[in-house]
Amino acid sequence: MSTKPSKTAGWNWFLQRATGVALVVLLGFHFAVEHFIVGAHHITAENTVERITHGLIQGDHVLGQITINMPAFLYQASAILLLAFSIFHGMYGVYNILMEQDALKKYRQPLKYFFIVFSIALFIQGVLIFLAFFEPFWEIYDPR
Amino acid sequence: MSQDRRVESYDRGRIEDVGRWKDWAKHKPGMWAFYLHRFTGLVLSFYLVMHLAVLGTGFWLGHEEYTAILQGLESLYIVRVLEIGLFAAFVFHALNGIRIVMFDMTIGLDIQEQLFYLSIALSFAIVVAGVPFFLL
Repeated sequence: MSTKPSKTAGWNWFLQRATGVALVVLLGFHFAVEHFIVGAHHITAENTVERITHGLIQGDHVLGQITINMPAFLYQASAILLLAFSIFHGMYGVYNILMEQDALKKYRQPLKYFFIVFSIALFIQGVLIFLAFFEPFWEIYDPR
Repeated sequence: MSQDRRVESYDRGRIEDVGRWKDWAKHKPGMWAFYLHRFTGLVLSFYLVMHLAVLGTGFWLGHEEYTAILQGLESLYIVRVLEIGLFAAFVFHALNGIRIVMFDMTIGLDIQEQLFYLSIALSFAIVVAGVPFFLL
């Protein structure tokens, strides 16, 4: 087993901090929209399309009627950044917890590649979910 | 700038190994912060994978199935209660994460235990205030 410090470890450490700080804002916004304004039990495909395609956040939950019409690209950027950052932060975090366990250190390489492939798969799945509620795409793709 | 910004370091042993939980009775608050941060991080990561799997219905099956599965899950009281747990995990992980980033910038190291108690207290207050949004 190599004892040389990894060249990417320093970068990953920094990215873990940077994505963490960004996620406080992005995930906070996500909770605010889906749980505090819309309310999870009021989420439908129709109002998901309104948010993702048009940036139109509408809800009538505990706080009463709220309508926020933000630039669509801003909402879309927040969604994709949330997806990318949460996957990196979460998967790198779990990988690190596993690597702190002495018994797992001999599986470092296979685990690393597993987490890289799994993260990419999660990101692709997330992008597909995004596209499902992005009208210009869905009008062409819709399987029905 | 001549002020020495280095922090006092000492041998803290194999503190990173989660196996040290067996010494729980000897743990100081910082160790509980470490465990809680790890635990909430694992919960959030597990949820992220489940979340993307469930929402995937929107793409793979279509919009009607997406609405049906979400409304079906939300009609279960246990799901609403678990969502409060998820929110609590996020709030604590976020606040304690800010605490960790502060330490990286050598801010607040000598009040790290008080900051841990503060992150617990703030988490509790925010989650209690959030409960109606999940249950109503």
